Amino acid sequence: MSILSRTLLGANFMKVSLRVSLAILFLTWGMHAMAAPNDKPVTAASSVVVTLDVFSGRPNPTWPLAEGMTVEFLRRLHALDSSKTTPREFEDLGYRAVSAEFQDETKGTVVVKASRGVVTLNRAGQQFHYLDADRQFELWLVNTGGAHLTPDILRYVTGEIAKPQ
Amino acid sequence: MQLTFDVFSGRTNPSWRLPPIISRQLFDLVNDNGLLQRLSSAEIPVRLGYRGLQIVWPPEIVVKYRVTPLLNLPVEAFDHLVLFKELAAIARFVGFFGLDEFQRLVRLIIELLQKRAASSPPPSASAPPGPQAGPCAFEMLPFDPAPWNDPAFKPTNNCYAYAANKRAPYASKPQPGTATGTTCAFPPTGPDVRAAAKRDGAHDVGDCFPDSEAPRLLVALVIWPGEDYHWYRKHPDCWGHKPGGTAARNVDSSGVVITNPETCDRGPYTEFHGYMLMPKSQKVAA
Repeated sequence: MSILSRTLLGANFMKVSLRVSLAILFLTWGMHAMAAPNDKPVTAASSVVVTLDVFSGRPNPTWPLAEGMTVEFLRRLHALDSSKTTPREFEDLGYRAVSAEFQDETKGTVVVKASRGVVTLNRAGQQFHYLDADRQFELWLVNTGGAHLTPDILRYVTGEIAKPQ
Repeated sequence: MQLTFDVFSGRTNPSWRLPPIISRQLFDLVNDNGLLQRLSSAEIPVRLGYRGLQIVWPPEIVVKYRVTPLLNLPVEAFDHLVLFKELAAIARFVGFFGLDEFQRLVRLIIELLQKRAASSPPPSASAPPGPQAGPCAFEMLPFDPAPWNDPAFKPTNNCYAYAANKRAPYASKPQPGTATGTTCAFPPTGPDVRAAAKRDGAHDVGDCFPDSEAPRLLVALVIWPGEDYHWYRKHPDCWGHKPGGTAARNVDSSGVVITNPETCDRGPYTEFHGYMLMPKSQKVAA
């Protein structure tokens, strides 16, 4: 084999290694990009409206989440551990769930529903579930409506959340 | 427990002392159907033929559930055929003195009741008047939750829409009175909700609708004091309801099929405010 051939072989080897390295790099980045929505399901929230699913006949109480509370809402949401368990729908009379609907700048309309220790995030037809240990996320979200709910309803709902499951 | 069939005129009526397991099952059957409250002071009529059933509860049931020891179940008060079929089914699995004769009599009464039903006028589309509906005829549609649980309708079709059988893609939950100009006041009370439903077309039981208003639906109203109202609708074998934007169902908050909205588990809707009739022309939204 001539020196030229050996040089060309060496150059080809370099090209192949470069291609493999680039492929690995893109693959890793791609996997990271795909995993990112699960790690941080939403990046920002605006115009958050909270709804208490509690009534049968009358409209359910709703209230806007104060701007100052949006950051805390996202912090609490991001702090939840993901869960593979699909929660059972609780659909009896009385308090059922509290949910927050808002716009994410990049992901469109998002609905976050908290009920019985599980938080479910609905986004563009996809569902993600998170564990809400001791129902603290659910309780916090209900309490943001303190100024919009009657004392009796607030007492009833927080009492229901406090009950052992 | 002593069970007496009030059937003879001259002879002593047949009577059995039944074992505790039957007592308990019969008590549950009677209680679940609301007969204990409804018939606590009923009298069996004086006439020929099978007139009814007389139950003397055992002391443990009287003490535990605080019921009067004697309960009369007149044949006209409810469907005895169902009761006797249940009795026959229970007795088959329990041995006691006189079981064969007991079963023979139960079978005989089932035959008598079936013959009576067969010889009565042909059934119409209307249900016969019952104690809940007063003297008025009403219709019972089969329990069919699927159309109500269609995602296009489920969120805004509430108990009022379900009770009136008016399924539509509402923008928000229909409210009693809104269709006719004056929405029910807040907090909703039984009389206010009933008055609003009447403005929309409903009647008190006893105030009959003509046949042209069929299906005339028998509905029941309950109230969560100071907060909300809820409706149930009668179906042939159960009562159905739809709590807000959730699925339509025929079970209560304990998962039990609803046979009596007065006694079923209703969560915080603790006040029962009676029955009404909703006609075909009932309006629930403007």
